[in-house]
Amino acid sequence: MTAAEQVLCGRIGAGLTHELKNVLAIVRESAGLIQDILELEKGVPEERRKRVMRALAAIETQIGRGEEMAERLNALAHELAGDVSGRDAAEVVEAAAFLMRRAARSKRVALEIRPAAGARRARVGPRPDRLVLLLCACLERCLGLVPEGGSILLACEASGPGAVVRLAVAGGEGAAAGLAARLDELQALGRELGCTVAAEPAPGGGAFVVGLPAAAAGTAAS
Amino acid sequence: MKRWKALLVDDEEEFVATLAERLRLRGIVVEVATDGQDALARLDEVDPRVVVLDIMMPGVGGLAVLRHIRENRPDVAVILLTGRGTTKEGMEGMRLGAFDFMMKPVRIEELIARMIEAVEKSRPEQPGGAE
Repeated sequence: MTAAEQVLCGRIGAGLTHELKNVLAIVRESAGLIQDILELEKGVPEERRKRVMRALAAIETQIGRGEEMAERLNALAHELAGDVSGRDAAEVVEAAAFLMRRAARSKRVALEIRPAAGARRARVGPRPDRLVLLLCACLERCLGLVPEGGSILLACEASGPGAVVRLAVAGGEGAAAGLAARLDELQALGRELGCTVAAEPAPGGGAFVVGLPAAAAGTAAS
Repeated sequence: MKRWKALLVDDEEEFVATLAERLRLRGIVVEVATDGQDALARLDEVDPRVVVLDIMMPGVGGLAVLRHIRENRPDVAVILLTGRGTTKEGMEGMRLGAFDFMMKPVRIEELIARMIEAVEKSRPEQPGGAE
Protein backbone atom coordinates (compact mmCIF):
# COMPACT_ATOMS: atom_id res chain seq x y z
CA MET A 1 0.00 0.00 0.00
CA THR A 2 1.38 3.41 -0.91
CA ALA A 3 1.54 6.23 1.62
CA ALA A 4 -1.24 8.07 -0.23
CA GLU A 5 -3.47 4.99 -0.19
CA GLN A 6 -2.81 4.57 3.51
CA VAL A 7 -3.83 8.17 4.21
CA LEU A 8 -6.98 7.63 2.14
CA CYS A 9 -7.83 4.45 4.08
CA GLY A 10 -7.27 6.36 7.32
CA ARG A 11 -9.61 9.15 6.26
CA ILE A 12 -12.31 6.69 5.15
CA GLY A 13 -11.92 4.77 8.40
CA ALA A 14 -12.15 7.96 10.45
CA GLY A 15 -15.34 8.97 8.65
CA LEU A 16 -16.93 5.56 9.11
CA THR A 17 -16.10 5.34 12.80
CA HIS A 18 -17.52 8.84 13.23
CA GLU A 19 -20.74 7.55 11.70
CA LEU A 20 -20.61 4.51 13.93
CA LYS A 21 -20.57 6.80 16.95
CA ASN A 22 -23.67 8.54 15.63
CA VAL A 23 -25.35 5.13 15.28
CA LEU A 24 -24.45 4.29 18.88
CA ALA A 25 -25.70 7.69 20.04
CA ILE A 26 -29.08 7.10 18.38
CA VAL A 27 -29.35 3.59 19.88
CA ARG A 28 -28.47 4.94 23.34
CA GLU A 29 -31.00 7.77 23.16
CA SER A 30 -33.73 5.48 21.80
CA ALA A 31 -33.12 2.91 24.55
CA GLY A 32 -33.08 5.74 27.07
CA LEU A 33 -36.41 7.02 25.75
CA ILE A 34 -37.96 3.55 26.13
CA GLN A 35 -36.75 3.54 29.73
CA ASP A 36 -38.13 7.04 30.32
CA ILE A 37 -41.54 6.06 28.96
CA LEU A 38 -41.54 2.82 30.95
CA GLU A 39 -40.86 4.75 34.14
CA LEU A 40 -43.77 7.08 33.38
CA GLU A 41 -46.13 4.19 32.58
CA LYS A 42 -47.77 3.03 35.80
CA GLY A 43 -49.83 0.09 34.53
CA VAL A 44 -47.02 -2.18 33.32
CA PRO A 45 -46.82 -5.49 35.28
CA GLU A 46 -43.66 -5.70 37.36
CA GLU A 47 -42.37 -8.87 35.68
CA ARG A 48 -42.74 -7.31 32.22
CA ARG A 49 -41.08 -4.12 33.43
CA LYS A 50 -38.12 -6.13 34.71
CA ARG A 51 -37.76 -7.95 31.39
CA VAL A 52 -37.68 -4.69 29.48
CA MET A 53 -35.18 -3.21 31.93
CA ARG A 54 -32.93 -6.26 31.53
CA ALA A 55 -33.07 -5.87 27.76
CA LEU A 56 -32.26 -2.16 28.06
CA ALA A 57 -29.32 -2.95 30.34
CA ALA A 58 -28.03 -5.42 27.74
CA ILE A 59 -28.32 -2.73 25.05
CA GLU A 60 -26.38 -0.28 27.22
CA THR A 61 -23.64 -2.87 27.81
CA GLN A 62 -23.31 -3.46 24.08
CA ILE A 63 -23.21 0.29 23.43
CA GLY A 64 -20.29 0.44 25.85
CA ARG A 65 -18.47 -2.27 23.89
CA GLY A 66 -19.25 -0.52 20.64
CA GLU A 67 -18.01 2.78 22.03
CA GLU A 68 -14.65 1.30 22.93
CA MET A 69 -14.30 -0.35 19.52
CA ALA A 70 -15.28 2.82 17.68
CA GLU A 71 -12.90 4.88 19.83
CA ARG A 72 -9.93 2.59 19.19
CA LEU A 73 -10.63 2.25 15.49
CA ASN A 74 -11.17 5.99 15.14
CA ALA A 75 -7.86 6.74 16.84
CA LEU A 76 -6.08 4.24 14.58
CA ALA A 77 -7.76 5.69 11.50
CA HIS A 78 -6.66 9.21 12.41
CA GLU A 79 -3.13 7.94 12.89
CA LEU A 80 -3.21 6.19 9.52
CA ALA A 81 -4.42 9.44 8.00
CA GLY A 82 -1.34 11.15 9.42
CA ASP A 83 -3.33 13.41 11.77
CA VAL A 84 -1.31 12.31 14.79
CA SER A 85 2.46 12.30 15.20
CA GLY A 86 2.90 11.11 18.77
CA ARG A 87 1.11 9.07 21.39
CA ASP A 88 1.65 7.94 24.93
CA ALA A 89 3.54 4.60 24.85
CA ALA A 90 1.08 3.01 27.27
CA GLU A 91 -1.77 3.90 24.91
CA VAL A 92 0.10 2.31 22.02
CA VAL A 93 0.39 -0.91 24.04
CA GLU A 94 -3.30 -0.77 25.03
CA ALA A 95 -4.33 -0.22 21.41
CA ALA A 96 -2.32 -3.22 20.20
CA ALA A 97 -3.73 -5.41 22.96
CA PHE A 98 -7.24 -4.26 22.10
CA LEU A 99 -6.82 -5.07 18.42
CA MET A 100 -5.46 -8.54 19.21
CA ARG A 101 -7.92 -9.30 22.00
CA ARG A 102 -10.28 -11.26 19.78
CA ALA A 103 -7.51 -13.41 18.33
CA ALA A 104 -6.29 -14.10 21.86
CA ARG A 105 -9.77 -14.94 23.09
CA SER A 106 -10.27 -17.43 20.25
CA LYS A 107 -7.19 -19.25 21.55
CA ARG A 108 -8.20 -18.76 25.20
CA VAL A 109 -5.05 -16.79 25.82
CA ALA A 110 -5.17 -13.95 28.34
CA LEU A 111 -3.58 -10.65 27.35
CA GLU A 112 -2.50 -8.87 30.50
CA ILE A 113 -1.10 -5.37 30.63
CA ARG A 114 1.09 -4.66 33.63
CA PRO A 115 0.85 -1.05 34.80
CA ALA A 116 4.02 0.88 34.03
CA ALA A 117 6.47 1.12 36.88
CA GLY A 118 7.22 4.69 37.90
CA ALA A 119 5.32 7.83 37.05
CA ARG A 120 7.29 8.91 33.99
CA ARG A 121 5.44 8.52 30.72
CA ALA A 122 6.93 8.45 27.25
CA ARG A 123 5.50 9.90 24.09
CA VAL A 124 6.42 7.75 21.11
CA GLY A 125 6.18 8.29 17.38
CA PRO A 126 6.44 9.56 14.76
CA ARG A 127 3.82 7.11 13.43
CA PRO A 128 2.00 5.63 16.42
CA ASP A 129 -0.29 3.60 14.15
CA ARG A 130 2.71 1.77 12.72
CA LEU A 131 4.04 1.17 16.23
CA VAL A 132 0.66 -0.34 17.15
CA LEU A 133 0.85 -2.63 14.12
CA LEU A 134 4.43 -3.65 14.99
CA LEU A 135 3.28 -4.65 18.48
CA CYS A 136 0.32 -6.49 16.90
CA ALA A 137 2.80 -8.44 14.74
CA CYS A 138 4.79 -9.34 17.86
CA LEU A 139 1.61 -10.33 19.68
CA GLU A 140 0.52 -12.49 16.77
CA ARG A 141 3.88 -14.27 16.96
CA CYS A 142 3.43 -14.68 20.72
CA LEU A 143 -0.03 -16.19 20.18
CA GLY A 144 1.58 -18.79 17.96
CA LEU A 145 3.95 -19.75 20.77
CA VAL A 146 1.78 -19.76 23.85
CA PRO A 147 -0.39 -22.82 24.53
CA GLU A 148 -4.17 -22.61 24.81
CA GLY A 149 -5.12 -21.29 28.20
CA GLY A 150 -1.79 -19.51 28.60
CA SER A 151 -1.10 -15.83 28.93
CA ILE A 152 0.91 -13.00 27.41
CA LEU A 153 2.06 -10.23 29.69
CA LEU A 154 2.69 -6.78 28.23
CA ALA A 155 4.73 -4.28 30.19
CA CYS A 156 5.79 -0.84 29.08
CA GLU A 157 8.14 1.63 30.66
CA ALA A 158 9.92 4.81 29.67
CA SER A 159 13.48 4.25 28.54
CA GLY A 160 15.67 7.19 27.58
CA PRO A 161 13.56 9.50 25.42
CA GLY A 162 11.41 6.59 24.18
CA ALA A 163 9.95 3.46 25.73
CA VAL A 164 10.54 -0.26 25.98
CA VAL A 165 7.75 -2.81 25.71
CA ARG A 166 8.14 -6.40 26.89
CA LEU A 167 5.79 -9.06 25.57
CA ALA A 168 6.38 -12.08 27.78
CA VAL A 169 5.02 -15.55 27.05
CA ALA A 170 4.91 -18.53 29.35
CA GLY A 171 4.66 -21.56 27.12
CA GLY A 172 7.36 -24.13 27.67
CA GLU A 173 10.66 -24.74 25.95
CA GLY A 174 9.11 -24.60 22.49
CA ALA A 175 8.16 -21.00 23.11
CA ALA A 176 11.70 -20.05 24.05
CA ALA A 177 13.04 -21.46 20.78
CA GLY A 178 10.14 -20.02 18.77
CA LEU A 179 10.92 -16.46 19.83
CA ALA A 180 14.16 -16.50 17.86
CA ALA A 181 12.62 -18.03 14.73
CA ARG A 182 11.94 -15.47 11.98
CA LEU A 183 12.96 -12.73 14.39
CA ASP A 184 14.63 -11.00 11.45
CA GLU A 185 11.19 -10.31 9.91
CA LEU A 186 10.05 -8.43 13.01
CA GLN A 187 13.38 -6.63 13.23
CA ALA A 188 13.11 -5.49 9.60
CA LEU A 189 9.62 -4.18 10.28
CA GLY A 190 10.90 -2.42 13.38
CA ARG A 191 13.91 -0.85 11.63
CA GLU A 192 11.57 0.96 9.20
CA LEU A 193 10.05 2.68 12.22
CA GLY A 194 13.23 3.34 14.17
CA CYS A 195 12.40 0.52 16.59
CA THR A 196 14.52 -2.30 17.96
CA VAL A 197 13.15 -5.82 18.37
CA ALA A 198 15.00 -8.45 20.41
CA ALA A 199 14.14 -11.90 21.72
CA GLU A 200 14.96 -12.89 25.28
CA PRO A 201 14.45 -16.64 25.71
CA ALA A 202 14.05 -17.83 29.26
CA PRO A 203 13.32 -21.19 30.88
CA GLY A 204 9.68 -21.99 30.13
CA GLY A 205 9.06 -19.03 27.87
CA GLY A 206 10.68 -15.72 27.15
CA ALA A 207 9.85 -12.30 25.78
CA PHE A 208 10.04 -9.99 22.82
CA VAL A 209 11.58 -6.69 23.83
CA VAL A 210 10.60 -3.81 21.57
CA GLY A 211 12.20 -0.38 21.80
CA LEU A 212 9.91 2.44 20.66
CA PRO A 213 11.39 5.78 19.56
CA ALA A 214 10.34 9.08 21.08
CA ALA A 215 7.96 11.33 19.17
CA ALA A 216 9.52 14.50 17.84
CA ALA A 217 9.61 17.23 20.47
CA GLY A 218 6.57 19.46 20.49
CA THR A 219 4.14 17.02 18.84
CA ALA A 220 0.69 17.94 20.03
CA ALA A 221 -1.61 15.63 21.89
CA SER A 222 -4.62 14.70 19.85
CA MET B 1 -39.98 23.19 34.73
CA LYS B 2 -36.86 25.12 33.84
CA ARG B 3 -37.58 28.54 32.36
CA TRP B 4 -34.56 28.76 30.13
CA LYS B 5 -34.46 27.23 26.68
CA ALA B 6 -31.92 24.99 25.03
CA LEU B 7 -31.26 24.65 21.33
CA LEU B 8 -29.99 21.28 20.08
CA VAL B 9 -28.17 21.35 16.75
CA ASP B 10 -27.25 18.11 14.98
CA ASP B 11 -27.70 16.86 11.43
CA GLU B 12 -28.55 13.38 12.76
CA GLU B 13 -32.30 13.99 12.90
CA GLU B 14 -33.17 10.77 14.73
CA PHE B 15 -30.56 11.49 17.38
CA VAL B 16 -31.51 15.09 17.99
CA ALA B 17 -35.28 14.38 18.01
CA THR B 18 -34.92 11.56 20.55
CA LEU B 19 -32.53 13.53 22.74
CA ALA B 20 -34.91 16.50 22.67
CA GLU B 21 -37.81 14.29 23.73
CA ARG B 22 -35.82 12.90 26.66
CA LEU B 23 -34.80 16.39 27.77
CA ARG B 24 -38.42 17.56 27.56
CA LEU B 25 -39.46 14.64 29.77
CA ARG B 26 -37.05 16.08 32.33
CA GLY B 27 -38.62 19.53 32.16
CA ILE B 28 -36.14 21.25 29.87
CA VAL B 29 -37.55 23.47 27.14
CA VAL B 30 -35.82 22.38 23.95
CA GLU B 31 -35.86 23.46 20.34
CA VAL B 32 -34.12 21.59 17.56
CA ALA B 33 -32.15 22.62 14.47
CA THR B 34 -30.81 20.06 12.03
CA ASP B 35 -27.97 22.04 10.48
CA GLY B 36 -25.79 25.03 11.18
CA GLN B 37 -27.64 27.39 8.88
CA ASP B 38 -30.97 26.52 10.51
CA ALA B 39 -29.41 27.09 13.94
CA LEU B 40 -28.14 30.55 13.02
CA ALA B 41 -31.45 31.51 11.44
CA ARG B 42 -33.40 30.51 14.56
CA LEU B 43 -31.01 31.74 17.22
CA ASP B 44 -32.77 35.01 18.00
CA GLU B 45 -36.24 33.52 17.65
CA VAL B 46 -35.53 30.66 20.07
CA ASP B 47 -33.35 32.83 22.33
CA PRO B 48 -31.68 29.86 24.06
CA ARG B 49 -29.51 30.12 27.15
CA VAL B 50 -27.52 27.11 26.03
CA VAL B 51 -26.81 25.59 22.62
CA VAL B 52 -25.77 21.94 22.34
CA LEU B 53 -23.93 21.85 19.07
CA ASP B 54 -22.55 19.02 16.95
CA ILE B 55 -19.18 19.93 15.46
CA MET B 56 -19.30 17.84 12.30
CA MET B 57 -22.21 18.99 10.15
CA PRO B 58 -22.50 19.48 6.41
CA GLY B 59 -22.64 23.09 5.22
CA VAL B 60 -22.14 25.51 8.09
CA GLY B 61 -20.16 23.45 10.60
CA GLY B 62 -20.35 23.57 14.37
CA LEU B 63 -17.23 25.69 14.83
CA ALA B 64 -18.59 28.34 12.40
CA VAL B 65 -21.86 28.43 14.37
CA LEU B 66 -19.87 28.75 17.58
CA ARG B 67 -17.89 31.72 16.19
CA HIS B 68 -21.12 33.45 15.18
CA ILE B 69 -22.67 32.92 18.62
CA ARG B 70 -19.58 34.18 20.41
CA GLU B 71 -19.52 37.33 18.27
CA ASN B 72 -23.25 38.06 18.31
CA ARG B 73 -24.70 36.38 21.40
CA PRO B 74 -22.03 36.25 24.08
CA ASP B 75 -24.75 35.54 26.66
CA VAL B 76 -25.47 32.13 25.12
CA ALA B 77 -23.39 29.19 26.37
CA VAL B 78 -22.31 26.54 23.88
CA ILE B 79 -21.62 22.89 24.60
CA LEU B 80 -19.98 21.06 21.72
CA LEU B 81 -20.65 17.45 20.83
CA THR B 82 -18.12 15.49 18.85
CA GLY B 83 -18.07 11.95 17.56
CA ARG B 84 -14.43 12.03 16.62
CA GLY B 85 -11.79 10.00 18.38
CA THR B 86 -9.43 12.93 18.66
CA THR B 87 -10.14 15.92 20.83
CA LYS B 88 -8.57 18.42 18.41
CA GLU B 89 -11.86 19.95 17.30
CA GLY B 90 -13.13 20.07 20.86
CA MET B 91 -10.01 21.87 22.02
CA GLU B 92 -10.33 24.30 19.12
CA GLY B 93 -13.92 24.91 20.20
CA MET B 94 -12.82 25.62 23.77
CA ARG B 95 -10.29 28.10 22.42
CA LEU B 96 -13.10 29.80 20.50
CA GLY B 97 -15.14 30.14 23.67
CA ALA B 98 -17.26 27.00 24.03
CA PHE B 99 -18.29 26.25 27.60
CA ASP B 100 -17.38 22.59 27.24
CA PHE B 101 -17.23 19.70 24.82
CA MET B 102 -18.51 16.17 25.14
CA MET B 103 -17.92 13.01 23.15
CA LYS B 104 -20.81 11.13 21.56
CA PRO B 105 -22.63 9.09 22.63
CA VAL B 106 -23.35 11.22 25.71
CA ARG B 107 -25.11 10.14 28.89
CA ILE B 108 -28.16 12.31 29.36
CA GLU B 109 -27.55 12.93 33.07
CA GLU B 110 -24.05 14.21 32.28
CA LEU B 111 -25.35 16.40 29.48
CA ILE B 112 -28.05 17.92 31.69
CA ALA B 113 -25.50 18.58 34.45
CA ARG B 114 -23.26 20.42 31.98
CA MET B 115 -26.20 22.35 30.55
CA ILE B 116 -27.29 23.55 33.99
CA GLU B 117 -23.71 24.46 34.88
CA ALA B 118 -23.33 26.35 31.58
CA VAL B 119 -26.54 28.29 32.16
CA GLU B 120 -25.61 29.16 35.74
CA LYS B 121 -22.16 30.39 34.75
CA SER B 122 -23.03 32.12 31.49
CA ARG B 123 -25.43 34.80 32.71
CA PRO B 124 -27.15 35.60 36.00
CA GLU B 125 -30.76 34.37 36.04
CA GLN B 126 -33.24 37.19 35.47
CA PRO B 127 -35.76 37.89 38.25
CA GLY B 128 -38.58 35.38 37.92
CA GLY B 129 -36.59 33.28 35.49
CA ALA B 130 -35.35 30.65 37.89
CA GLU B 131 -36.56 27.09 37.53
